[in-house]
Amino acid sequence: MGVSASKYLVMIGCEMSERWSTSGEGDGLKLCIVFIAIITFISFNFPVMLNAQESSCVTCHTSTKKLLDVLRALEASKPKVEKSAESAGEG
Amino acid sequence: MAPLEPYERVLVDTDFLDEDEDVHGQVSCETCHGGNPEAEGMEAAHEGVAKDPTYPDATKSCGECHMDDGHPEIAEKNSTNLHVSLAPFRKKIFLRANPDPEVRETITDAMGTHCMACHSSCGQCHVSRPQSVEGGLIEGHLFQKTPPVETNCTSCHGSRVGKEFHGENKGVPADVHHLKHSMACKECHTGDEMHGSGHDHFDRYEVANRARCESCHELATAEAQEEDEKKGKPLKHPSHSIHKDKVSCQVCHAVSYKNCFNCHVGKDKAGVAYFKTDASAMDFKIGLNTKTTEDRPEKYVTVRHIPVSDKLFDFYVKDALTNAANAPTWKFATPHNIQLKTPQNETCLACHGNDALFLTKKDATAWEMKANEKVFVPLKPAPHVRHNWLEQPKYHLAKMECLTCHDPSLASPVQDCAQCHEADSMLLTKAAGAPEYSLANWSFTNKELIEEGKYVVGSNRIPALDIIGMLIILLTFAGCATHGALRFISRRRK
Repeated sequence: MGVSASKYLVMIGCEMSERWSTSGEGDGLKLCIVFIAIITFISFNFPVMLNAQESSCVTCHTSTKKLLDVLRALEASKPKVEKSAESAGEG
Repeated sequence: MAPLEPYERVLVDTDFLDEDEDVHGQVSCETCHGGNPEAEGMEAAHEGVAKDPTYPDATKSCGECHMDDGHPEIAEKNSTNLHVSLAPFRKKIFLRANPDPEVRETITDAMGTHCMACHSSCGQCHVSRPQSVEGGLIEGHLFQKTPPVETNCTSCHGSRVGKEFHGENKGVPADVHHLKHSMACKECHTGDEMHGSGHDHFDRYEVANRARCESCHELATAEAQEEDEKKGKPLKHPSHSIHKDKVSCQVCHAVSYKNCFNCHVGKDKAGVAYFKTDASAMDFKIGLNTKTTEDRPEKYVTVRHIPVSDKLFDFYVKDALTNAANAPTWKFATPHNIQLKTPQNETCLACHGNDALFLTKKDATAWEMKANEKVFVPLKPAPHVRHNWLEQPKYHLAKMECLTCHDPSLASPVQDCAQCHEADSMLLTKAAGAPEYSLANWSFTNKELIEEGKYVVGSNRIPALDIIGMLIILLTFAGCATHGALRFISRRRK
């Protein structure tokens, strides 16, 4: 479940409300139910969507520049683990 | 394969966040990897982060979705996935190991340092390179339904299988499936095989849904003669029916492959793990199949020397592999350099009687003798010795097609001289390409054989010469009779 699913539900909601509003029976109540359903769905999924797209993880891990800066500093501070010079032959 | 730059290993493509590109990008990072995106600073944010949340247990990260319909049992079976468990490593080493529990514990620790690091996982096939080759995201974290061959399959299976398949061993051509048909690993090694069978296996050759030549290549039958778009042509060459269930496909269709010798592991002065193996060597050896089963009944198979030594763990503990002879060092193998034509399938005698192709005691060192005693092939006398019931065995072997006498359609090979050396010789109809002969022919009845320099006493003849010969004899008799009769008549008149 994600962005496309929620978009799809909003579209269904809009379509249904349009049909009901043209039929003219209990328009207010039905519209209200549709909006509550849409808002409930979005509110449940919003944090996940927000986290996936805008979390600090994403901010750093999608930026070459930030990663270069951070990892350069990190590499410099940590001792480099080399392969043993005694290794010989094919693994 | 060049390792990735540190930043490349963790750089996520923004396409990953687009649901149309990859549904996995819609799940928050910490849901799978842990850590705390709200924390201040990188170190705090990465506390508890699992680089590969799918190893060793994939049921939590992958299983949440991949246990459901559409991906049945993939995550559940993952514990039996040999890429993950490396169970055969442990089983085969322990088969050779000293039974002392303390020694075994030391071996387990040493294996943890040296051998068990070569595992993979769901993530290390579908998302990143395996950790054993320094990891790093493939395609910026976009999940790959089929793992790329170079970064994921041959990054581990490179020294032997990868080089064989891609033709990277000097003077040895690439596998025909790669060279002519551009097939990738997954064409034969399906996801079903890769994801574990749900059963505990001693080695990968026990997995029921493993890759098999017969899955595509079927013997030609009266019904199956036509070429199939996917499977190719049915196997019509008589060698297939002659050798079926006796010889593995690779014995005739593989070429030289890599063999590795010895292996010693330890830690250097800085405490960094090392391994040492002797120089590898290209060779081709046919050995006996020590584990014939219903689905692998062949007696003769290709065998590869594996990098093992009875002193493998000497750095950690002496006498670790006191039972080294319990498992062969020349092991059943399926070289990945299949060719239609190979040196050993050029002619029957390229293999039959060619002792150099067969594994014998000469191919093992002193400590390996007992380990391989069931793999060594007892050599048979040379073909000309085995055919010494023939008048001139060497001449027959040089001039005759083996299949003429060893015809698979016959109940037993031809053993009666008269079957060939007589007027109605079977060669008139059985020899390769023999047409229907007419005895009124003015040329040799077996002219095809004559053209190949094969004169068969008693069989090759020109029927017209026979008729002319008979006529000459008859005319001679007739002449004599006429002469005698005329003389008799002339005497009576005198």
